[in-house]
Amino acid sequence: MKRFLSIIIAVLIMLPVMPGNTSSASVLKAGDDCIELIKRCEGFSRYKYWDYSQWTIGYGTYCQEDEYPGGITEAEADALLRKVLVEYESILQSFINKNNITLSQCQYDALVCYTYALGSVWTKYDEFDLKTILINGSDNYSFLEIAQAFGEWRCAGGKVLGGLVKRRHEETALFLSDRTESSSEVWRVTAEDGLNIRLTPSESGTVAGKMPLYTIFGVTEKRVSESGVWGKVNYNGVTGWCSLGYAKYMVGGPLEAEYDIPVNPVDSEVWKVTASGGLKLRSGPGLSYSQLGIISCGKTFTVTASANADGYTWGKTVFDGQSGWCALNFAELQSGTEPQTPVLKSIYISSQPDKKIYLEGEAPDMTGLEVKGRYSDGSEQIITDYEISALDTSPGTHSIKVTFEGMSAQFSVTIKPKSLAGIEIASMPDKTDYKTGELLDLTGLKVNAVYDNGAREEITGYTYNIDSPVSGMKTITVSYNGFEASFKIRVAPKTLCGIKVTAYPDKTSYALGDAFDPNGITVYAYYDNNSKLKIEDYIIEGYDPDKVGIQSITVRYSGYTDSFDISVTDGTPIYARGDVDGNGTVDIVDLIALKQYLDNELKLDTAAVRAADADGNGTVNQNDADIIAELIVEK
Amino acid sequence: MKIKLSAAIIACAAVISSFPAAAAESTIKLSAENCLVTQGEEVCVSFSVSSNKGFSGFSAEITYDPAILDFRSAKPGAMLSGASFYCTDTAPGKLSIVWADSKDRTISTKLISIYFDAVEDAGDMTSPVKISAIDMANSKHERCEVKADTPFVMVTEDVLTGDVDRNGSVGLTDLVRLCRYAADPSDCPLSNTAYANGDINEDGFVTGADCVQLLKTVSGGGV
Repeated sequence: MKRFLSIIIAVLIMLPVMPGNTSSASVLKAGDDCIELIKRCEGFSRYKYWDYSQWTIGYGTYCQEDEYPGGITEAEADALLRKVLVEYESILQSFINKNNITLSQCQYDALVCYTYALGSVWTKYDEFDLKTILINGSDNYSFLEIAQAFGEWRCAGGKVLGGLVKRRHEETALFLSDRTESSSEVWRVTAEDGLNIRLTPSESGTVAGKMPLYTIFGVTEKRVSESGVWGKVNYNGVTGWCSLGYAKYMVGGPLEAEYDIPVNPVDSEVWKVTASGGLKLRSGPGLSYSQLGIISCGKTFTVTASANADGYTWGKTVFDGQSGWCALNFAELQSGTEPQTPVLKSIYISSQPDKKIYLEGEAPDMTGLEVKGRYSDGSEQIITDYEISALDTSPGTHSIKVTFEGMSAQFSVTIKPKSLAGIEIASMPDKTDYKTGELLDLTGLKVNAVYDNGAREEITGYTYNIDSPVSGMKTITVSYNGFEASFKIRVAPKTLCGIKVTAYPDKTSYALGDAFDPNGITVYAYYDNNSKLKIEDYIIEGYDPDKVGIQSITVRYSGYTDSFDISVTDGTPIYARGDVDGNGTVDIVDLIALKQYLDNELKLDTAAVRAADADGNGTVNQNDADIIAELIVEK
Repeated sequence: MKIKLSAAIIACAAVISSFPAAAAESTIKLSAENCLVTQGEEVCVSFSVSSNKGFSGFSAEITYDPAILDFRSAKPGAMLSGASFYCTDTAPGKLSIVWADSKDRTISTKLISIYFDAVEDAGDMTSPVKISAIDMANSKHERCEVKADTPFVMVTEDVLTGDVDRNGSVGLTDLVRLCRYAADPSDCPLSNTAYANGDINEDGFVTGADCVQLLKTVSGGGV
């Protein structure tokens, strides 16, 4: 008997305590609320994106850079999430087992979501108030304290992110969803500049303190004044009132505000806004109460209380998280059931753009991009009027952010640097027809570099060469960074248009019988391209060593001639051709003398006769007079 | 209409005379008259010899403004007949002439006539016709001293007799202008065409006689 009792006692001692709706860690698993919360907070991304410090895909699941090149479906992302959550549940279970913590399902789901975001860090360090609260038992803490503990960790990249604030809000709401607290409400400051704490619930009340944006605070009492609904708060040791029009309700309560007119409870009536401009949501039942928001025309809302004031019937409702009153005169009673007014919860990239890889300089192409919004009723709708962040066009992988109504989703694209693929002759030079010997003129030539992205830009640092300088169709090859392009020019042969004796022979006076000495003569050929060339292969003719007098020596080359005079003497003086009087110049006196000689009125000596024989034919006649006249004219 | 002027005061161009106040007897003189020609028409500039002591040959250059005159031809005067005459346009606006014989020519008459066409758009433009680089010698092979005039060819636009102010009609303003010029040419210079238009009696001069004629026209008579 004693042994049996001992066994029973040992078994009883060994049996764990099992409360009604809580479980030990070994039994709890992430539920649908947890999965849905994570999906809602993370959003869905079909393709991986760079999330501050890691690649992320699907529902915020980490991945490697080379994983999922083709993206992921929602079903695959769901499976991946559930698989990955096992690791995070293990972290949570290890913590709660170690600290002998008992959690409800909603508390477990909220903490799995929290751990999926933060990892194991919050379970290790006392800086995390939530760790302390759980160890001490969350039932021992108010909604405010728990909400503030969840709301501690809302930064990423060193900045407070609205998305994280909202996520902590939802995790808090899930964690506290099986508890009630009517003695206070938990609110969060939404004013950018913070929310003043006044000593009285009035805009004229003395400011005693201030709560910054995103501060989570508790409201223990509510009052309604001419400026709206005020909540009594205690923050940093300051007790006072703040205007709840600049805050958002989180959990707890609700506390009723005091009004000075009868308020009748209503059994969940559904009304539909009929005013085309929407229906104002006021902080109280009356025209003097401040506006909290507007319920759009056609939207439905649920009325839980009514009151009459200022000639209108007012209905109390909660819209978009805010409790207020609407004038039911501008709405239509629908039914007694409570409809779900869909509220946008998140957006995600339902289809990535077709083009994910760009070459440097390409313009972004969002063809194929589809963005969807997830709503509170579970529906999804395609969003078209979203905004897209500018694309960083430098080489590398960059995130592109899609934003809609304060929510965002991302996808990434890769920019590859452009590389030179070739060069092309964009414009021929103005001059393409040349004569041999002309200098090449590339004025007007334009050369383009062609890149692998199809871009083209003019270049100037190219080099060029011509295949050969002789006449014909010639190819000019342009080179640049290892690439070549070419074009052709036509080079016509130059044409001879004359020759000239530019230097006479050293010897121009000969004695009878002397051989002709051409040394010293210089002859140039002239071409139609304004060039000249010294020539050697000319022919010299006209010299007669046996003929005394002035002789015209002809230089002949390719059908062109030039001439110069030499003299052959037998010892007698030699006058220049036409210089009959031998005075060294050919002038009118020489012509007169020749005329007189021809008319036998003047005798001429041998030298004079030779000079008078201008054509050198051995006879002095009128023809010689004509030549001398020409010499006078040409002088 | 072609109007020939004797050595008269020209409105727009100074006359450069090469005649010294008292030439030496051995100096041969070449004289020529100024010419007035309508644009597009032919004009002849003739050089005549005076104080000729005899020469057997000469060479010279004749220059003119090729923008105003187109050279057509050159003809030796009768005094040069019987011997070869050479005339070559060696450059735009430049002629070279050569003539020689065995005996001296002693008469004083026309030496050479040069024919030009006045360029079509050369109205109211004036070109000198200068003879220079004159080399003249006699049968004894002695050089002759030569002095030559430089005549001017004045080209006019189409002439309208009496239209001194060139407004296309003949009236009182033309008479006033003509009288002012006749009284003092420097007070109211006239272009070539205005001068030609003002030579009412076509005597080559613009004088009071032309004013009287124009007065008759303006006051009712015809030209």
